[in-house]
Amino acid sequence: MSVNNKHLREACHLLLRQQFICPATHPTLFSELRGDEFAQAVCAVLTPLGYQLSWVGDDDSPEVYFCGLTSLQDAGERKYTEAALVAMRDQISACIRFFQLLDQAGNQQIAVVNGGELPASRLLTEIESSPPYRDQLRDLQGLAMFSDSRKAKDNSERLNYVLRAMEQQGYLVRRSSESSVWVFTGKLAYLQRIMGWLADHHSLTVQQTASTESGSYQESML
Amino acid sequence: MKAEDWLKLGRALQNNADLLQELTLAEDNWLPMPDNPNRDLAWLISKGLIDTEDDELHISGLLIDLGAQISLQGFERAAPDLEEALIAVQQLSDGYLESKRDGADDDADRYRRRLSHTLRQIILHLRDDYLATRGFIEGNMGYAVSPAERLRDIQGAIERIKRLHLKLTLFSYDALRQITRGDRELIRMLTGLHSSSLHEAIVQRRQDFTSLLARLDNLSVSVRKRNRFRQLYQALDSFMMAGNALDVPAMLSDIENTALFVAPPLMLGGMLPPPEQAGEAVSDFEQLMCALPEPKASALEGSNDAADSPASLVPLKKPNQHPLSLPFAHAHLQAMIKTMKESGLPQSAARYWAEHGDQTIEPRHWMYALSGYYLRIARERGGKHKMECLLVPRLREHLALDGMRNVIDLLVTPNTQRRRGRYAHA
Repeated sequence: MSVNNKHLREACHLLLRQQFICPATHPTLFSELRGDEFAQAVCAVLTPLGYQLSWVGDDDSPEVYFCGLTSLQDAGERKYTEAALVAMRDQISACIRFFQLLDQAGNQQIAVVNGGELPASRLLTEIESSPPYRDQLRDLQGLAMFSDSRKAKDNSERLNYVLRAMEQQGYLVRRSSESSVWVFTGKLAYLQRIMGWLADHHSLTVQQTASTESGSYQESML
Repeated sequence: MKAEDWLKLGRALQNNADLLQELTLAEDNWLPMPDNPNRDLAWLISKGLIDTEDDELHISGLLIDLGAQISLQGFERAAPDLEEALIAVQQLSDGYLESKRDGADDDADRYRRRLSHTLRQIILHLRDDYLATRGFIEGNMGYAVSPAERLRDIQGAIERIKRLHLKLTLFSYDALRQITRGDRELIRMLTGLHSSSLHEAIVQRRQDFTSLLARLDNLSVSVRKRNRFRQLYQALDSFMMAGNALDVPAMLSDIENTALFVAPPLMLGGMLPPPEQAGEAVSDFEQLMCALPEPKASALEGSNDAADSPASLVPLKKPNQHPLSLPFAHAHLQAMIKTMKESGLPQSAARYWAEHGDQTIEPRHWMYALSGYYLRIARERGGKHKMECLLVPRLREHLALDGMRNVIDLLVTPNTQRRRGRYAHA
């Protein structure tokens, strides 16, 4: 099977523009990237530039592909990376607030995982029916990432601003252009990976109450 | 159960007796929802005695049992246990074949009907199981809130389906084939290729169960992932709430993380040639730069000014330094109005110009300017203020048919009209 040149070009362009390729955003390219031949062709483009094809997830079932660095020798790249990490850190607490709202208002039924669905209309109904959730949603506007939601006149608009901010950062994408159902992208897995490293670095104890079987999964995640 | 419940059941059955008969006779077909369903039917549906899917009705296994119990002789309720069900099928088939061989058509028919009911019970039982599991998945897995309970529920559902799946292997094509012993009627009912035969139904269910298993597996993975993520961000959150800062720059020192760092975006731009040809290309580039025209001095000054003056966010609006200039006709018109008020007589613009005006300007130009000025102030006042005077044109003699009108003079006359302002006919 030969490599599809159109897909190759598309994939390289996306990767070099810092896009994350996951099944929710680019299903075709993602499945192509899982093929060895295609992945090698992409690597052949990225390697001379000093980049590599990175992924998050198990080696045999990656969740998301992106363009990673091979070294931090270059001062410019190092500086850029540091700035990017700091920006990501600033997003972490905003994201956590948002996820907590989803947990509580969504009755823990919204899957905050790569590929998980977020039915906005149902979430809105839950939020509007309960004052604490409304407050929680309103409190989000105090965070820099969701500051746009100040402009909103009602809860529906406010939620929309929040979801759009998440979309802008690449964590969410609409399932289809007119759907009110959003899907978490692979960048969430990336965020999770970064957060996992930070938790390890600060030697935080992450409670393990779910099940004894989650151990093997955790090993694969970290 | 209270007496009222039984009464209600009896009434519901009574009011829908015809429909129930149709449903029992419908064999494997679904019946459409009647045009005007009564309340009792809705009650039966809500209690699960009649199944509905996409506005189609199907009788439940329970009601079939009940119906068979009261109408068929020697009928035993098929146990949900599939092994026993298989034995029952075997016995009924044997009975049917024997009576047929003996020529007892009535008996054979009875056995056939009982067999048919038993088969339907098995099929319905499997279908109910499938629907219950699907409902469990699509209804967000029961009411369990904690992830541990949810995982347990999922595991339970998986186990149940696995058991069912295993039992379905009893109903293999070969086993059923043996039961039929080549009888045409039994082949039709047990191993036929149409969808209502037992074998086809079981093949269908087996596929359904396989897909359900895959879905349940995915579900449990996603619940676990999500649970793990929740614990992770809760740990980070409490860490940050305690006033600690996340030490992100430390990530840079961990060499294993390098692949995790997203590469900076590549800027599209002019590509410099590779180093081996650089000398030549650079001199070419220098020549090209020299050949460019000098930048304009004014542009330079402008940029210097901009750099010197402090940047202001609000653009300064420079005041208009030019003095207001009155139209040249203004003074003349005022003078004419003054004379007109003193004398009380209309003033001729042509005569005024001959006496006071600049002789290098022709009277017709002057009149043109005067009427233009008059029209302008009339427009500026917007018809809201009364004009001080009127301009009445004097026309050269002309025929009524002649389209040409030649103004030879304008008379400034007092405005005596009551209407506010009036545009001049100039």
